[in-house]
Amino acid sequence: MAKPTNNSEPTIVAFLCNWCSYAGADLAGVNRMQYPANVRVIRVPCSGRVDPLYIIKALQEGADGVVVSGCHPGDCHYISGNLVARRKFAMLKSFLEYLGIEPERVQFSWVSASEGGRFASLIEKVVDDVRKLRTPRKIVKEETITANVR
Amino acid sequence: MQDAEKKMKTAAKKLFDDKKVDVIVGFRKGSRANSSRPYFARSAADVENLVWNGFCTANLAAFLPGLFEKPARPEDGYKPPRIAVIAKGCDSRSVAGLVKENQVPRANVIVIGMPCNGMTAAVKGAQVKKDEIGRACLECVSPMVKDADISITGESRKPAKGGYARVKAFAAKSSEERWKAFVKEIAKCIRCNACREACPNCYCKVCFADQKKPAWVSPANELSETIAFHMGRMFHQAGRCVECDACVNACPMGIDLRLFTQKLAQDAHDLFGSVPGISGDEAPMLNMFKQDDSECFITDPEEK
Amino acid sequence: MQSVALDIKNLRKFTAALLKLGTVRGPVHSPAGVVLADITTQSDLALEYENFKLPPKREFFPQCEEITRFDASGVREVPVSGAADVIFGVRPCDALALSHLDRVFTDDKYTDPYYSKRRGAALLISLACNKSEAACFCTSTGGSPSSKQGADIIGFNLGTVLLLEPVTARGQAFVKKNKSLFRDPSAKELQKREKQEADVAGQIPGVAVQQAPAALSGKSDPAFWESIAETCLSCGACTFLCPTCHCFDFNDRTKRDAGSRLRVHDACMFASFVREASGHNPRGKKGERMRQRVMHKFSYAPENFNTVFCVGCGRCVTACPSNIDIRETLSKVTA
Ligand code: SF4
Ligand code: SF4
Ligand code: SF4
Ligand code: SF4
Repeated sequence: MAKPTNNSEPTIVAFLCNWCSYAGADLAGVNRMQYPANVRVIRVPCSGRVDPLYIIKALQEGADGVVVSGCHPGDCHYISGNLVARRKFAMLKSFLEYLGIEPERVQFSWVSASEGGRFASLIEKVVDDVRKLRTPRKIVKEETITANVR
Repeated sequence: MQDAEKKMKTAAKKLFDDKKVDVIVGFRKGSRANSSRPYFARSAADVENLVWNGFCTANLAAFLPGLFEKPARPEDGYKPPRIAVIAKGCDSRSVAGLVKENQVPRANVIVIGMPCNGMTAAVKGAQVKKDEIGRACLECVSPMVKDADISITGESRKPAKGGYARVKAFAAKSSEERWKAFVKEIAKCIRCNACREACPNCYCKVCFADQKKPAWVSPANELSETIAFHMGRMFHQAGRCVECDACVNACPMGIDLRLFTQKLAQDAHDLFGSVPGISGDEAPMLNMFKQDDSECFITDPEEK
Repeated sequence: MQSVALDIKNLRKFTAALLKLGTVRGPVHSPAGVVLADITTQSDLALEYENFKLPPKREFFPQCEEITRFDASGVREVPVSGAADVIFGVRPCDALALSHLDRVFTDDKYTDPYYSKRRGAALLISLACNKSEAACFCTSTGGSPSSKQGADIIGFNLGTVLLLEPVTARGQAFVKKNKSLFRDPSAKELQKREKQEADVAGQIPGVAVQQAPAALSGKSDPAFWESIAETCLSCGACTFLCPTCHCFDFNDRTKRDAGSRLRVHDACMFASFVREASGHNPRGKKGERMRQRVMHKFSYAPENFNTVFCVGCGRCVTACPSNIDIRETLSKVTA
């Protein structure tokens, strides 16, 4: 796996729905569209499958940013997975922001299988947003642990 | 209060005499000065031990999922017990939530609604002072018991106005300030899980924090793990937290969890009009959706 | 051994002498009350305080410590860190608890290197209690508000004077080396100390601790334990705050292709404590776990170490969210 990055070359973890955004990413590739190579894609069956813990965990393991993308509302392969996810993500994004995690680090979007260009610009935007941040990453596991006396 | 206690005892006794309950979950006198503690009365004779006073702080709904837990082989003639619970407003909101989440069969619960004047906060942290009504009670918008099967009348608190002033003040700080404050608070945690165990909503048979495969968080009180634990546990209360502060009162380190859990309550209300345990949504808030739910948080890369 | 007197106005000089030994942890004021923390020459030692919320066992047996580190190149041991050279202000009950832990972590055959290294590094100066707290019952557990066991030096706060009595040779050596700081106590001061000792001890109510080991051997009735533990939440507040509880677990924590093996406190009251990989839980009921905790302290420990593993600090009494009171449990056991 890649070395830990700093903000100038951020690592972005992308959770992409198998039925749309993942295919959208594929399309961007087939069409030879340019987008930053900072993204690490994890395919999920539905944006509704993305447990908030995945996002927390990704940040903990050192991701500079996380993006979750699913089908546009109404287009879910499982009818309502993304609609349930939408509520959950609205709550999550607001909660993490409240705790002090910059909104740029955790983003959500909709990209369909035919939107290769939209996928490329989404990744561009997220990488750009994170790169512009001047604040340190949060929750990241320390490489070393000193004895936690007291 | 004494009057309410007397009425409650009469009602409790009658439930046993009429053979309507197997156990009454209530409070008895505590062993510390000025304290009451959870108590399970199992017979008419036990009713004598029940008390009702200003120290009945714990959220008794937290015991219900355990009491209704099915034995390993429920087919061997298991019948769920009939349980009465001496409820404050917050306990009753939790009961409503647990019923909605199918943890508690409503038909087997008798909610004895008490008049609540606010309860003394547990004396553990720096932010709660002795003999002071807890913040949960001062800010409680619904001290009245919801859906009581038996109502004990008496003087009770006026509902607070609500408005989440503390959450708003915290949100007004800068992102870095908020993070620092959050981490400073959470750094006091010793990972004893009392907050989780005292929370009526934390009934999972195996909590994500106890899972080993995958190990979501380590049980070590190493800061990053502790933060991840609390983020995870608190977020599991999204759309479910009834702002009872059982977690806060249970915490031996006096951690101000309310400052964070309340944000979830505020968002549930502001984004989805849901007040857990009060608004009559047909399903738990995060198990449903509306076509026109807010999209304002969605990144639109094509937006100029 | 012979006591010496330190005039409180010379307290800063005393802390300076302690600091010559290295890192010093002592009682200081914080927003969360008086806590044990690193001190400097500028710190004001608190001398009036109730006991620390967290037990001082954590100084020697931290809640989380890294034992080894591993990556593709192999496994390396992590050297013991975080040891203090002086710990000042531990209460006598907690010092007694440390002497119990000494026997757990070191015996003729095995020595726990992490614990014993830290324990060996520190000069332990305890401070006798000037008043008791509501939940204290040390006088029933083989201790007292001025018991010396476990400490190198015990201090008595007499208001304007701190009386210091060396308990071990190491304590004696420290006093000797710094004798310019001290003077001989007056007869009046010694009297005052004696009165104070008796007064505080006299305030503390008795609890049926010594009868417990015998009574417990017959207490195997599950219904009895279930009745005690009915409202237990299965949290770790009682055990994590107990100065004698010492169960731990190992936990591997990885990041990418490297990781650490951590030793972390565990609690017999957690439902997951002895849960097996199959999912079977030999102590699946609250009563069974409660029985384990009480038996360990008041039956197994006396069998193995000839003393109960409770020093009557009362922390579990204060911390339990359900107010399950060990004093009451013991009186029910012995009834
Ligand atoms: S998280 Fe919410 S519902 Fe749970 S104990 Fe805390 S305040 Fe109550
Ligand atoms: S009760 Fe307090 S100390 Fe215990 S795990 Fe919860 S926040 Fe941490
Ligand atoms: S069992 Fe309770 S009173 Fe006894 S030493 Fe442990 S924490 Fe203190
Ligand atoms: S502190 Fe109380 S509720 Fe928690 S495990 Fe101990 S006895 Fe049970």
